[in-house]
Amino acid sequence: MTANISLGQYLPGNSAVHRLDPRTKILLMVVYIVIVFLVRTLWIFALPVLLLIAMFLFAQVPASYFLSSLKPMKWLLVFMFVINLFATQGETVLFQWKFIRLTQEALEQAVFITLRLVLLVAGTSILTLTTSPIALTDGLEKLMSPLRKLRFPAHELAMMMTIALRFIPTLLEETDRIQKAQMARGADFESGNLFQRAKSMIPILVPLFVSAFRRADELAMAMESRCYHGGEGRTRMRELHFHVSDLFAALLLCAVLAGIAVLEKLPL
Amino acid sequence: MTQETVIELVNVGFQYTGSEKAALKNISLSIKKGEVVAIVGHNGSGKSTLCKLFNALLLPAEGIVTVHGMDTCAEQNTLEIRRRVGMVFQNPDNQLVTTIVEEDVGFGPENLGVVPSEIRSRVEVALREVEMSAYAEKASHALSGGQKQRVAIAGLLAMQPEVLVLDEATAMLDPKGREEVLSTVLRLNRDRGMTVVMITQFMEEALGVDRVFVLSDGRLVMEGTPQEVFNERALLDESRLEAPAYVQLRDRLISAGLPISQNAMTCNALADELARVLSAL
Amino acid sequence: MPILVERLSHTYLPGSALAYPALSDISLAVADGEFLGIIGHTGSGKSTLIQHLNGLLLPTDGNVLVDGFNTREKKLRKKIRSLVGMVFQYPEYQLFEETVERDVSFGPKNMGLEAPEIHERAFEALRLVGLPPEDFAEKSPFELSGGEKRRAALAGILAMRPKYLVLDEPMAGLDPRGRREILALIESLRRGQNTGIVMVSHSMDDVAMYADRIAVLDQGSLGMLGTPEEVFSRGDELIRMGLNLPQATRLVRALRERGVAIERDYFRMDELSQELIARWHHDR
Repeated sequence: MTANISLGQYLPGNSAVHRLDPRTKILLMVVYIVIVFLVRTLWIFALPVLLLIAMFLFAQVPASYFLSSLKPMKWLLVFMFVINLFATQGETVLFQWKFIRLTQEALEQAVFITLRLVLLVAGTSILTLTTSPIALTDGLEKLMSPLRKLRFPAHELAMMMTIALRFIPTLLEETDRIQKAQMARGADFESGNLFQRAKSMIPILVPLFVSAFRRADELAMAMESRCYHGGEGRTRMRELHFHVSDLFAALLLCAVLAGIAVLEKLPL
Repeated sequence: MTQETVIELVNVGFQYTGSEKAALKNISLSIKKGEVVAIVGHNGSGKSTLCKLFNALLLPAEGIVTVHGMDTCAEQNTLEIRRRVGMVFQNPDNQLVTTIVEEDVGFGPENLGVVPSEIRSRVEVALREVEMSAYAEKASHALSGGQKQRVAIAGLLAMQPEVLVLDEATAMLDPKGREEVLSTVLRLNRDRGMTVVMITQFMEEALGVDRVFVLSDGRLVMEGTPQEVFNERALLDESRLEAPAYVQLRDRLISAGLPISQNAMTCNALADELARVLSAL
Repeated sequence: MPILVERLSHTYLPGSALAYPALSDISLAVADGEFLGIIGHTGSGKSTLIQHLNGLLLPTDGNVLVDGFNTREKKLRKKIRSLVGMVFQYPEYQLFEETVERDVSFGPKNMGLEAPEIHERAFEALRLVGLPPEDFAEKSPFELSGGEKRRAALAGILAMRPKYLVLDEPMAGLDPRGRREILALIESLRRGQNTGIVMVSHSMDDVAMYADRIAVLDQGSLGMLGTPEEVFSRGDELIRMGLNLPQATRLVRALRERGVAIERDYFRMDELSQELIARWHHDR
């Protein structure tokens, strides 16, 4: 069950989007975010919406994943909508009851902000849905590697991410085990006020930290044994290559970007 | 078996910083190419410390450790020594570095700067050697303990080592996992001539090896074939160890007068002897 | 009164796509002062079963009654957990306090006992596991040796004075003498305080040596339940379930294959050796 956690959201597959180089996907995601932020007119949102639908189709990701990517955000979305609905100043009153006042400007603003958020979340989830965590860290490491000249620890960061991904399920399982062991000794994690509950976590947190440090120690030893000595002179089994499809994807997004930039400038 | 020495220790002593007691005292031993040896000893006898000296994870405070003549204390040798002496540790969860099996097996060769196409083929060969090819693209976390340890062994094989050191690599496994790991390394010894060093608390595992070293309180107290070692019952007892159950039974039968051979140490050997003695009358 | 497991079934994540039946239709009882061994290969449901005995897991179907208290009742859970002490695998990883005494006192404190009684129980438990409180009470649990940590963790359970003790692989990772010491301790608890013992183990020899009865789990079902003699006489079935046999039983089978007729199914080395010696003298 916890095996799925280590793969994050990744949905294994072999679609055109899956096969793109992770570097392309990371860079295009930046372009996509720029696109979403460039839009200032409601109807022009049609373009990024179409783009998003196209991405989901090309990636062969079922629509249900679109909804589940929004699920953790649902309260934030509602909150943003409501705040903008009532906090925005406007003149065209649509509805008024006592001091509650709803204007057309406010409604537009609320829809606008919420739509932008939905597009951002759903769009970026395409990246994590179609790219394995390892490909993602590889891509990030490669993209950041020019920064190494500025002493930016690109390799170290990528290695930390790799190890973190590897150990998340292990530590979750361990937490469960320790919690059960303390419950067997009569520990109660459910009653009491906030302070008491926080205090009741100590019997879990101390063993968890002790064990995490022990694991870190042993892992470091195992890595050294396997000749790990930093990023210097290290090769990678998985080579990253740009293909024609990467070029096409880049052209497509750049075209959308240019289109939106032009549309926004036109006096329509 | 050739008599080329792979690992040699001369008068080695070691002490952890902050500890008052020496962890190892005056140890000399040598391990030959193609041998299978076991190092046994009670909890805290220093056997784990000893094996960490074999690949320069620890450096001796006294004496010399050499691998193929290379001094482990010389820093320029470190990587080559670690490539040649692969080490499997006790906890299967704490030695795999990446999430996906094949990525993990590639970790060692990547560190050595092997070209990508070659890493790929080494990974495939290594996974086949430990019979884990079917799991190449699986998440390592979901594997059983025995499977994880076999992946760890594959990760070493991909570095093309000469020696495999198992630092209590079976201690946390169930009997099936233990059997998987043992049969894998013994097969590598038989088919590839791999030198194997097993550190273990299970005396039964030491029965099939060429030589056994017994450690007690940081000293090497005995060295010999399993027969020689397990016949020294008093010395074993002093070292807080005990002979395997069949050896104990054999000795009880011999002292009761049954004319059975001192060489019978396993279930089958003992059954052969007993069948001869009991039906001959 | 015993622990009663009645028609217990357990499914993880019921109703979801990942639903996974771990136990089905298990019924057994653990009497006062009885030693029940649980064997079964990894994944057969042993851990799931024992976590039901003190209400850490609740049955999807069926009931678990500890001295008549149903584990389903939330109000009784604290009571049940003090009756059934649970020692997990590698229990030393649950130590967290600054001193050994404070760690051992964690259980009794959760039971709501008074300070003098807690102190008395902690010291008693430490003495029981062979860690004299004079030397160990004030030490940090993290500076003990591996075997001492294991015993300190065990003391933390014993200080609750449980009527039943459930142990999951309590000897894992110890050297031969450490294993023997822990086994002797468990056996003395049973003899001294009439503690009912439930022990999960991969070592058939240990189970054969100490258990009054053995429950064999196979793919979530109760494959066998009986005395060691009953269970180990069904060697072929055990092997089919992926289990080993005790070393004595293996030797008996090897002898029979070689035409030496041995009538009884021995499962303890000491008894087998007596038989062989008697047999040899008789033959002569």
